[in-house]
Order: sequence, then structure tokens, then C-alpha cells
Amino acid sequence: MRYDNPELTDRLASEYVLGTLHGAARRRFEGLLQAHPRLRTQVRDWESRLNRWVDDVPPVAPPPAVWNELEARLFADQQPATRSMPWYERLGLWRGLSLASSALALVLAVLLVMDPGYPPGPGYVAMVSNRAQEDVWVVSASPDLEHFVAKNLHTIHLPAGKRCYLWLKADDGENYIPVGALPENRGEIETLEYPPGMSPRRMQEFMVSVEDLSRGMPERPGTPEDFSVALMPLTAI
Amino acid sequence: MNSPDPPELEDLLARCALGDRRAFENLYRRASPQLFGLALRIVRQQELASEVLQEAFVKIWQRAGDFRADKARASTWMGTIVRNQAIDQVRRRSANPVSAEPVEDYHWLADEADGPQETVAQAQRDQALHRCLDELEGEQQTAMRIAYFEGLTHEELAVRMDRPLGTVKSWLRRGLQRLKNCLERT
Repeated sequence: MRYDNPELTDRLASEYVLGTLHGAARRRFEGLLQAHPRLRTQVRDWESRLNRWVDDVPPVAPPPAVWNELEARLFADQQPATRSMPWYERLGLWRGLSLASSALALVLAVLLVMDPGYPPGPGYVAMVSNRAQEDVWVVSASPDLEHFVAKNLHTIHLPAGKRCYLWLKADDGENYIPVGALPENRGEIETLEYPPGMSPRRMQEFMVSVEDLSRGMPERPGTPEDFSVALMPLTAI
Repeated sequence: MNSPDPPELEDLLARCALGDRRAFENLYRRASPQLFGLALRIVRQQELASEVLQEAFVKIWQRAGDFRADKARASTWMGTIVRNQAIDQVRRRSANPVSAEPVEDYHWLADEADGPQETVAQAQRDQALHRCLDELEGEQQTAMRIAYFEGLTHEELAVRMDRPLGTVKSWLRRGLQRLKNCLERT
């Protein structure tokens, strides 16, 4: 099968979504999906056509036991879900950010120009994309810029000893100060902190670089950056 | 392009990606009837459909970070997870299959209920889909629905419909192409 032929791959995508592509052929196709954005687009298009059948199916209330078992399975070792939401979970702009980051030009970093007298707000959130414009991390910062939470959305593979490192521009507007190493596997969450009083006084710009941490903590960003960053103030919701 | 769901479903998925349990519970309350109906449509047994729904929601919780609101509707994304889970379930027990009920018995399912909280635009698109499906010949459409809802191979479908393999393959191939062409025109 020639996977560079759009008509053939569209037919395969249609059979994949319809469900008639089975066995080894299905597994091979799923493997190719990882590597070929056009295949993913074709599959998505077919899903949008055929999955409208799903909306035709009459809704039926599931037995209450399903939720009880689900809750016990996923959250058995946790407190009831009644806590108030911490600042880093207030990500009402998630969807908007995802859209915005898709449209980003491929630049090293996007500077959000802010009034130097910017008052303390509810915090900040940044979406970091790779050269393929895939969202790799969502990073949020507390209003005092002392607490950061980074979540990986897309697994990255780096040479041994290398890590992706998050930087924040210093108040002098020239240098960067390190925040910490970012998680590499999808779904991983890393909490990063500055010691009180050590963080910049105002948010200017995030940057991500690839560093060889086996040589110790870098003082300034070394390897050319591979990521673009869209930074937005986080609004309260 | 698809119109977005009511923003709540997508926002709830975004919150789930950050580990918000309350959002997950809310998402389950809102989305589970439609998804349970889908699971039931495919596996045809309440107990099995309950298993499918539970497994699917575990995946929805674990993979919520993969959802992209600019690429798919939330209901489509979750529906795909449920359907795949249900079809896996059907395939696992295919060595001892439930007796196949006549397809005609299930036709009413397709037309009875309105989707929940449809927007006008979505309703128009659904009308376009139905119009396009109506353009397909009867057996062609039936073959596509059985394949979609039961995950049968071409060979299994040929046996089910008692038609030659080549005929069934041709129905599906032409049916899919006609559906695509028709939807692109509307």
C-alpha cells in the first residue's frame, strides 16, 4: 500500500473509522497515524462525517452503579471532591489558548507586552508548542510568580542527559532566570517554585530551551530553543 | 467544520485534564445518557453496556488532556472512545456471539430521538447527513450502519447480509464515497 497516495489513504481512513479495517492492517494504520498528520486529518474528517450517527442514538440513563464504581475505581484514595479550586486549575482559557496556539507563527518566544505597572492579577498561563505546532506543555504561574505548574500534553523524546528547561525573563529585560525542568511524558505534572523573594516582580516572557543537565544547572539558556510560547494572563472564572 | 458543543462539555473536559473531579462528575452527569445509549446500541446488553461506559469514562478521565476543542466536538471525541470500547467488547466475545437480531429491528433507533441540546446549525448538518444517507441505496446504507455500529469485517458483513463479499465491499466503498461527495456539496 502506498501511504503517500491521498486517495488511497482517504479510503483507508474511511474504512478505519467505519470499522471494517481489522487486524494487522488496522494496527499498521494506527502506527502510521502517529507519524502522518495528513492521515490524522483524514481520520478526523471521516469521524466528523460518520460519528453524527452517534447523535441519532436515543439517550438512555445508565444504572447508578456505574458512577459509583467509577468513582471508587478512580478516586478511592482521595478526599471527596468538595475542595475549592486552586489558582492553577482556573484555566477557563484552555480552549481559547489551544486555538490561539495553533495559529502561532514559529518564533522563539512571543513576548506579551505588558504595562510595567501591571497590578497583581489572578495569574498567568502559557501554552508551549513545538516546531510541528503541537501543544507540548501548558504552564501556569501564580500571581506572585513564585509557583508554577507545568503539565505535559505531548510526550517528547530527548537524547540521554538532556532536559527541556523553563526560563522566565528577569526584571532587567535581558537575562533569563531558570524556573526548572519540564516533564517529558504525556500527562505528567511538575510543580516548580522560586524561593520567596527570588522571583521576578513582573511577568514578561517564558522561554523553553534544551539543556544538558549532566553538566549542572545552566546559568543562562544554552541550546537554541525549539519551542514557541503563547502567554496570556489568566482571568478569574 | 463542526459547530462546538455547548461550551460546558468542552470546558469540563479541559478541567478534567487538570484533575478536577467535580468537573468529571459534572461531565458524567451530562454526557453519560447519550454515551450509554450508544454503548447499548452496539453491545445490546445492559450489563455489558455498563462495563463499556465505565471503561470509556476511565479513558476519558485519563486522556482528557488529548482533547482539542479546535479539532473535534466534545461529544464526537467521547463518542469515538465509547464506540471503540464497545466494538472491542463485541469482538472479545465474538467467539460466542449473541444471536444476531435482524437489522430491521434496530432501524427505529436511528430516527426516533433528537440529539440533546442541538444547535440549529447542528440540526441542519444532521439533516444534510440524513439527506445524504437517504441518497444511498437501502442495502448500501444498511451495510454501512451495521459495519459502523458492530465493527464487523467485510467477511462477517457478507455472511450477515447473505451477499457475496465483493458486493458488500463495493457497497461500502461506493457508499462512503457518495456520502463524502454529498456532504461536501451541502
